[in-house]
Amino acid sequence: MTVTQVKINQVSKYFGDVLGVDNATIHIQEGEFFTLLGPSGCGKTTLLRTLAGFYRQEEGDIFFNDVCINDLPTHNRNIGMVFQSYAIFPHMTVFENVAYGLKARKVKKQDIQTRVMEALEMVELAHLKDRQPSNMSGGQQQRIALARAIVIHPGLLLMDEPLSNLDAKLRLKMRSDIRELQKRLNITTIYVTHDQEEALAVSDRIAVLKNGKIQQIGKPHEIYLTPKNQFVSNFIGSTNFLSGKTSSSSAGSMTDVEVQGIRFATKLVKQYEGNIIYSVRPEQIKVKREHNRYPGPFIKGRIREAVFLGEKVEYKVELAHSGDLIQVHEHAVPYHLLMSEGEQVELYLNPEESVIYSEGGEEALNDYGNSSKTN
Amino acid sequence: MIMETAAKRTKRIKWDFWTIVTVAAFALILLFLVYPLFNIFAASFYYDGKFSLETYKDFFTLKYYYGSLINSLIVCVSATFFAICIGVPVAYIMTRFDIPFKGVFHILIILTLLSPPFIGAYSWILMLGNNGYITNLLHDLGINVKSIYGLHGMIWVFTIQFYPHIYLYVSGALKTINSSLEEAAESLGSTRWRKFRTVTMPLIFPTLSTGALMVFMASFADFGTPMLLGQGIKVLPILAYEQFINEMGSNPAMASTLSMILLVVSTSILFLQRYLVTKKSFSMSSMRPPKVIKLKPLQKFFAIAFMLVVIGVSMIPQATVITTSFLKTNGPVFTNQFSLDSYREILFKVPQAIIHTFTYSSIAIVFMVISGLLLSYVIVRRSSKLSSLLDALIMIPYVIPGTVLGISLIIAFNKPPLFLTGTWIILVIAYCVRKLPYTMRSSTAILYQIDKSVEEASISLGVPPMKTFFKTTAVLMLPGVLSGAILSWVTTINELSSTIVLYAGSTATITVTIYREVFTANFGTAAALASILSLCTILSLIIVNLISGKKGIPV
Repeated sequence: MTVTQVKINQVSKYFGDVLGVDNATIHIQEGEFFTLLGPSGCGKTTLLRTLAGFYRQEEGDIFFNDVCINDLPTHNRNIGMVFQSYAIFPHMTVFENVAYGLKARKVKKQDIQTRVMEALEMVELAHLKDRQPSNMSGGQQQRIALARAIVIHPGLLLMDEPLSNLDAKLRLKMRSDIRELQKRLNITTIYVTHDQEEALAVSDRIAVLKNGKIQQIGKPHEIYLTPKNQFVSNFIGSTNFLSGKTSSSSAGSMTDVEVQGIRFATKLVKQYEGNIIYSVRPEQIKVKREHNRYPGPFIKGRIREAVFLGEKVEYKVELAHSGDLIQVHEHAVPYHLLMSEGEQVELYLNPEESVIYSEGGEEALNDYGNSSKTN
Repeated sequence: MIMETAAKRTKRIKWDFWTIVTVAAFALILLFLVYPLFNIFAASFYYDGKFSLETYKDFFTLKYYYGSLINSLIVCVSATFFAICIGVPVAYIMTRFDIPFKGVFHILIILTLLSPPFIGAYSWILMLGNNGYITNLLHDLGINVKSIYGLHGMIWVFTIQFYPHIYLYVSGALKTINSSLEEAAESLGSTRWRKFRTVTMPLIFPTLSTGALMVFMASFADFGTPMLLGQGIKVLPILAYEQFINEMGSNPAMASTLSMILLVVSTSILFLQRYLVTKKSFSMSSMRPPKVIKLKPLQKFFAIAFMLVVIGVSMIPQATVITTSFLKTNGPVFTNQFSLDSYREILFKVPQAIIHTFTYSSIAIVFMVISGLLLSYVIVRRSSKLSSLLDALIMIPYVIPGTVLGISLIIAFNKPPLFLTGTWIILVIAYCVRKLPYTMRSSTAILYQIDKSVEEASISLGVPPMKTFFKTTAVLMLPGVLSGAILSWVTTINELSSTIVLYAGSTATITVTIYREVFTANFGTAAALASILSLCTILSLIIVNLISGKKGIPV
């Protein structure tokens, strides 16, 4: 099996005058689990289908292992593909479905037998090999599709929202199965989803797309902790955006930031003066009762809503300074610290974990974590 | 490694298989549909060797001509009205009430629809004609009834023949109405009748109007029934036919003008129906299909009685034809003796007709299966402006009465370079053009249900696109295309209105022969031939049921 390294260089795909994919450049390593993540219409499926060869890009080049495959038709690309709708051949048995690609490759009959059974065992469907797939469950059909895609030993496995038609519980199991299988077989995999949690769970790296443009490429924790712009920050997980200001600064030195009446100094990567958007995730905020003597600057507020979810408590807090509502999540809260609606509280923002964006939200100004040198 | 980007945004036309299919389809449609229609259009303005509006002027001023249009409209409007009066209750009873034998009733109703109307007309002549059984019987009892001949006879035959259109469309709609809507009406205090009138009727109106359109078009275009029952009273297609094939010298200009009028009327009716529907169409999602109501014994009795009467009456023509085919004849009169003479006679006299019918319709059907598969794919999966145009062109024959199509093909192909008049080819062409819309409709309906990714999955697994099509989509479409095609085949073997214009002595088919035999009062042979058609129709219906595994879908 040749594991493929994929290079997407400045690829653009148009539909008429509409830009489906806008100048995308991604280099994907051998054996990597790479996810294209974004809301519907962001171009993730378009990019995947361009890689599959169902679309031809108007600009840019795609390389598999340094071979340009721009004009290589789909059926010669040696890819395995798993579709959202499963796309099972309804007129064939489970076995015939999986054997289909091998027959096309003129594999010997005996080898077909062993390889198909091997693949079916991997997806735990060997006992159903002679069944007609039409009345099997969605989860089983998707397993057939997965077996059918991996049995041909593809250089590249493409998955287009494979779990979105399954119910929540099955989705969790399937996604860990897929991840495990991918690592075991070491197939370069490109996975499309709109579900950010799923993306964080399965991927080695993620590319976040919006309106056909790649917003950020990085490992799951990089995307989550240091989103490069307001869109990414908002799309991955949930977050609070607070408005603030910086006073004059020079790049590299400490800058004064004011958010909701509190002031602190932080280091910005570039010089910036004026309004900022301060992004802090609900679990990064500490919520304390009044007068608790916790160190550091705090914002005053009042609890408007407290939702107890067992493992965590979700608070909606109205800020005294502006009247804005802010989300706060607290995990493993001991009984005596549970707060109820109407209580006056103090919020600690923990500036080291927060991300500061320029006024329009286009770019991150600070560089917390610093480790995220993404390509 | 070379990193230069090829910054081209060129639109490339790929000359693949599907492009060739599209081009070929356009070529054939232009040659066999657009060109003949254009010819007939041109011919209608061409009188005495120069451009003239004379024939149009004649049409609107001479009662002989415009009277036929009025006759046509009287017949079609009345037949449509009565078909609704019968079809809607039948549909309501069949979908909403718990009566027995629904499956049998359903098949019999479809059988009625698929058998050719002129055979119905002919058997009603046997019963209610000037010398019919019932006429004579009643005469003996001292009752004088009006014979079946005349406009009322046509209305009667069309109503009985075409109410299944209404039944099929309306029962389809009734099955998909969300019962919550009707329950809501009930909860607001509506009586059952009021609920039907204010909720159910408006909801089924779009489908009902489509059914009504089908009845109108079928009655408007039918040739055999008014020809047999007219006796001097002419409707438009008859007049067009007579102007064209006239012993006193044909009048192509007038025939073309009448054809144009036929086309304009049927097109207007189509657009009128579309207009009415677009203003009043709803999309219904059948979250909760309506439940079947249990009737009280007396109500049930009346419901079943009603069904039996309707289906009984519509079965009478079939029964008469089959029974009389086994009777000994003495000239035009049937005796009471059983005999196979009629069958012996057709094998001796007109074996060619039987062979012709089956050869021509089978050739047409092979062509239609192939083009149904390929063209529906072009239209559904490769949709573009060009393919929508193709779709629109293919649907034109919906509004072309068979007689008009026949006349237009003759006018177009009775001169070199393509001299086809009188050959069997022109018959096959006519059948293909007429029935293709129906095959296409069933093919596209199936294709829409097949997941597009199935093909992509196959291609991604290494099977080239063309091979993929034949290994996946084509296989999946075939059952549906075949059942659609078989139903088209049934209507093809029963086709009369364009055959009568296009046939030559050496290419006569069963329907034409029946028609001639009836005219020459050889009722025995006509009955035997009609029975053969009926038998084929029934067999085909059974085959379709086996293929589709559910209730037959009518064409």
